[in-house]
Amino acid sequence: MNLLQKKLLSQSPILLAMAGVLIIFALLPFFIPRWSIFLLTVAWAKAILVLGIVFLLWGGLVSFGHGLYFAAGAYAAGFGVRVLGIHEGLVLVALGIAAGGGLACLVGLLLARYRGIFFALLNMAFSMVLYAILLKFYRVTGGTDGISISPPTLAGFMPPPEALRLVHYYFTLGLGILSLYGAHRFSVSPLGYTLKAIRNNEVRVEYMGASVRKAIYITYILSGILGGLSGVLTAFAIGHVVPEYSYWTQSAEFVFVAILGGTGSTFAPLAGSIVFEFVRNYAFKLSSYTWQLSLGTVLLLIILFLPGGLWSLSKPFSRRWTKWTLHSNR
Amino acid sequence: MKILTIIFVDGIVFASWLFLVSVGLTFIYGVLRILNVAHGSLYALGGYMGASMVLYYLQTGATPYLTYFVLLGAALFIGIVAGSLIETIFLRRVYHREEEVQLLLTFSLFLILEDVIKLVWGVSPYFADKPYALLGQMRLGGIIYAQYVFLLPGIALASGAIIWGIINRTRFGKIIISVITDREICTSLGVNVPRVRTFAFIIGAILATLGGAFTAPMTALVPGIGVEVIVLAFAVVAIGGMGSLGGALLGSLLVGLARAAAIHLFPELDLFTIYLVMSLVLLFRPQGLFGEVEVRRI
Amino acid sequence: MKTTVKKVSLFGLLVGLISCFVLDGIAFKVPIASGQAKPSSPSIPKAPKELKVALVDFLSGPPAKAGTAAINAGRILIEQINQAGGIGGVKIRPIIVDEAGGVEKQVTEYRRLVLDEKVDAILGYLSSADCLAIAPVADELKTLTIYNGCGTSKLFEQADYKYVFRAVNYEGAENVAAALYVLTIKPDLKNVVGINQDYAWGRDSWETFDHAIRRLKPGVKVVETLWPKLGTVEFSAEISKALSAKPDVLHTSLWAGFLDSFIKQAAPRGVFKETQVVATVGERSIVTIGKEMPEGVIVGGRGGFVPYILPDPKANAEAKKFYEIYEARFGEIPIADSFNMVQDILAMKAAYEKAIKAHGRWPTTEEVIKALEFLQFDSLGVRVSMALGKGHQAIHPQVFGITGTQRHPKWGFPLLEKVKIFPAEKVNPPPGVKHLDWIDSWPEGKGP
Repeated sequence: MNLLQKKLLSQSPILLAMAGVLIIFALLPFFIPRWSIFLLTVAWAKAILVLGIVFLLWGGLVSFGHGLYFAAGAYAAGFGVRVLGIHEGLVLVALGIAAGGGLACLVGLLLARYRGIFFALLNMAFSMVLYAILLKFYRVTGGTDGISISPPTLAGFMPPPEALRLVHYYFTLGLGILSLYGAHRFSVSPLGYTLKAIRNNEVRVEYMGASVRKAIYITYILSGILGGLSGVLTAFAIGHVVPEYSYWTQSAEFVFVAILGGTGSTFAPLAGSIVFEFVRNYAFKLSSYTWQLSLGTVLLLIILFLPGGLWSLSKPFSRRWTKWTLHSNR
Repeated sequence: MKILTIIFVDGIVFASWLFLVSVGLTFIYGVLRILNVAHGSLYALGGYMGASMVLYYLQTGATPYLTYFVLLGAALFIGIVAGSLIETIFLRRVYHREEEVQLLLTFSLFLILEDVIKLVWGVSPYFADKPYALLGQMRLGGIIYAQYVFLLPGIALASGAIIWGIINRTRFGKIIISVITDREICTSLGVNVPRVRTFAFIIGAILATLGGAFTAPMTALVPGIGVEVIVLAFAVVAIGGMGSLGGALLGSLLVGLARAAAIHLFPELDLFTIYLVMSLVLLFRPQGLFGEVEVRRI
Repeated sequence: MKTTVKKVSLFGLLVGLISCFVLDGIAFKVPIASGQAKPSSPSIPKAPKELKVALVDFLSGPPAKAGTAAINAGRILIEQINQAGGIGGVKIRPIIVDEAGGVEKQVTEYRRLVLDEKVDAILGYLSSADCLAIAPVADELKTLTIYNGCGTSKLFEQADYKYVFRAVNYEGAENVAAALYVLTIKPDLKNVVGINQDYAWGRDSWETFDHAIRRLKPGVKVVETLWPKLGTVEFSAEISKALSAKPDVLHTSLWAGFLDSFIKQAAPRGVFKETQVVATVGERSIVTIGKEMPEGVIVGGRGGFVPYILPDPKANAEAKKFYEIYEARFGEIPIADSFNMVQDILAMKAAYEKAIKAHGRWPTTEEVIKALEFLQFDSLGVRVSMALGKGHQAIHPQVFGITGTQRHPKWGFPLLEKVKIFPAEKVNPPPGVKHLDWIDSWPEGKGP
């Protein structure tokens, strides 16, 4: 068989898994209430950014300031609607990606040199600077009032009001699956492996001849792009963007979800994000003054007893899955 | 000229407040190598404890001039209790883990403590302003200041002096320095390192609760006051150098005066100044003004 | 050991998630929700078993006192209505929601109320930021939403909404009244400083006052405008700046716990002696701070209400009954927010009753909206008219006064002197005219 066929066959386990996920989430809306569809949309949108955080975690870097890209994407959409009068969803998504990616290109130039706690703090500082800008320039950004974003058209087509949120769910799902696939390709690519090696021992990677700075910089830009995309999709779902998107607690929430899901697989952020959104929703509903307590306790327990995150619970299943798909490869 | 006086006074007051909240953070980092996100919650605990104790005390009808000691007592009490509980139950388990995990653990503690505060003290604002109004007024730079605010620089200097004294003039201080330098050798020499760590954390916690308690009369205690405090404390600690007390002092002065100047001269920039200063310092001197460069281990 | 931990946690997680869904299915309610569990048997065709109404207001944080007062009043009124048979024979079931948590949270919460709890109407909202963000969502989800507490003029002057109403005066009335009133106290004022929070409410309040005071007294100078962030309770820097500017008048739209905090920080620094403070919605602080409230502060009420002055228990029997029930039940007097919520619920009730009468059966949401537009009704003796915003914005009288030396015999708070009740037409623009344009159209040096 030729190279293409070989490549496809080697990828078949992951393609199968992706297809499986797509089918499950595509069929889910028919079985769950409308409110849960909304939660799922937000969970998918935020999971995209968490993918970026997981990339950086593979490289041994934690960012406590990715709210910067989240807000950049969301406000790019906001300004697109308010200032440029754009109502087309695809254009706004492109704007969001450009904003997130562009900002990451700039900021990453400075930040790629740093590691450990300084990387985390510098990211946080930049995100707080953006927060201050969004907050203070009331006339331009709307300050704490934020900017409203009415549901955009998708490829020129405006879905009927009853199906509006469902269509947006599928839109987010589609982009989410693409991001997941891209993340997987990244993780098995040479760059992905270099990144994991950097976490292990940076100096050896340099001695090997690979450029550590380039690897981290490119990963950072990718995480910025994912962040911008996530921001736009969340803005569509909620319909309103606020400066708090850039506040440190939002960034901390993303890291929380990353750890909750685990860093072992590209599906992990999705699992973490969905569990987080649903648990938060029900915790708030049950007792609106102790939801932070519940979330904090969950995180505490995960850190202490389940360091691989929720995804590590799937180890026995993933072993069987690998065995089964490997067999089909022979 | 008058505006300069006002900027100076406001700046010093704000710098003292910043110093109180950040010196504990930098001390804990210096000894335990953990960046404690729950520091903001300790500040809030100090504030709430101080405020509720003052209100309770005033109800008994005793002389209001002792409320300052009530605040001090409340801060010490909650600092010791919360500090020892946090360190012994939670922090101990993650000393061997990576930095990010430790950070996230303290973040989860922060989330938990935020709601614990709501459960214990409720969600309505607390006003414990009697101590603030009691000390009279003074005119400086043409405007009136409540003389209470000058208590803050006093307390900040006193705490700074005490910490410095502990580290440089006591046996315990020497032990702390040796634990920072090389933990393993200390253990093999017979130093009870876990106990040293607990004490160090308690000291840091007390500094935070002191800040909270003595700020309480100047403001209102509402849920969420810890959130803003943390990020400001981080900024000051990053600027001054993590683990450096002199750095915390210099960093607070820098940020305090810069913010006061911004508020009075360029009000649009006041939120910025802190994070801008932090970004600039970290970009040109990533270890902070007085921080130590960490040598890369191969 | 590790695998057992994993198995236990997986099991625990699954149990947790499933129980969430099961509990949800049994319709688990927020613990602070109250209301009748017995459905009624109404006589109107097509009537539902109950009318699910969400009441949203601040129950935590600095605005807690204001929101709690509103929810308390709402509970009492709904109980009274239900005892009398409900609306068209249908009993109201209130669902109480805390407005704290920020705009994004509230937008999500609004969606949850409509999609998950399936409420029929949503009343309340004190924060102008929440009001502005939720209005488009209300139209998207086609749910009757009647605001009461939030005062931003942007709501109906920058957009039209079909499903959104406001049953209470907006900040335009308050700040026009403030400007008119302050000139009666300090007719030769020369310079003004404003301390207002940096969001829609604060910005709009200042803009109205600024326009009005300049129009009424040409030549007045605005020396300083300060914009503390919404949420901050520490005002030492703003106080320093305001004091050094030495203004004749200090305008502030700070409200509830924020204003309480400001007063406690400002009073020891002599702010109330060095300048004439105008707190456009200071009435709540009179009650919450009580004895420590400084003398000589010009104060208005949110939505125009000041307890014991408007609504007046001496002038209206229903008002008198309301004060008695409220005070007996909660041990404190109702404040402006209480009356705001009462007016909101009465607006909804009047609209439903009008629509039922017009159609002879239980009306659709659209029919209720039609009935509510341009409606005129009475609320505890106050005449309310939905005259502005194409029939979506209420107007009614506005009270202003100045704190004096006398104290209320029973409750101890300072009583207002030189009370002026401005009629609705004097402080609100005519229909179809934006309030700033209306102010600019006054003859110079003279009022409306």
